Amino acid sequence: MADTYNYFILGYVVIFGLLIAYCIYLAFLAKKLKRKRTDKS
Amino acid sequence: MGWVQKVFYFHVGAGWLGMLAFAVAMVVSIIYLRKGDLKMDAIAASAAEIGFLFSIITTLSGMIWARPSWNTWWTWDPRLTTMVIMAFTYLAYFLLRNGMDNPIKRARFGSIYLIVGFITVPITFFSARLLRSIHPTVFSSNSGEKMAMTAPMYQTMGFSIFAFTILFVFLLILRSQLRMEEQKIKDAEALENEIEFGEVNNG
Repeated sequence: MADTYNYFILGYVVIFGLLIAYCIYLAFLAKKLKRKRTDKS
Repeated sequence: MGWVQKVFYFHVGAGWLGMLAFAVAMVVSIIYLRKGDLKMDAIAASAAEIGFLFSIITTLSGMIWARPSWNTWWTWDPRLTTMVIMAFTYLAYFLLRNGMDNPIKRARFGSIYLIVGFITVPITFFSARLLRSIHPTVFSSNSGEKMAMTAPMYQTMGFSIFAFTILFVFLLILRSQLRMEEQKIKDAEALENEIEFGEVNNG
């Protein structure tokens, strides 16, 4: 069987890295909107 | 294939989610054009954003899988080329949206763009089946181009597709709510500016 362990790790880092980065972006956006809403009220 | 084969389940799941998201964006855009509800525009834009993210994940995971399989990171194969064209079509959608300040105009042009842009999805899907492509297919009537998969592989892939669909629903709800909230705050700011500007003008 070919030794493709490095590609497997790289693949998972890219997939989960992008997913986690998007979730963090959404969390920061939610926080920013909450702060703006609080400032207005 | 060894360990890298495990990337396949995420590659297919992400590819499915990308195409599903663009289909949802198109359907919601049609509803927007019929009803004129800006909530539909927010949902369509959110679906397109999620679709773009997963198209990028599909492309990158495919490149990583291609290196040990085809001995190259990239080749101008019909499937790979149409996939990138599809991703860039949706990237252009966000550039178009960001260039428009009027929400009604933005929603109308955006909806038309998403309906027309959806043509890239079936082209991408069928490119590996109809054109000469080295990209394998999972679902195909032609056994020559079909991937050799065992029953556990099909089960894992099915579960992956199911899990990605659930993830899509969750992300779509969350992103749409944030987009609507963003729009509300922008509208309130615009109204405040208008009132302020009116007061200044009236002395």
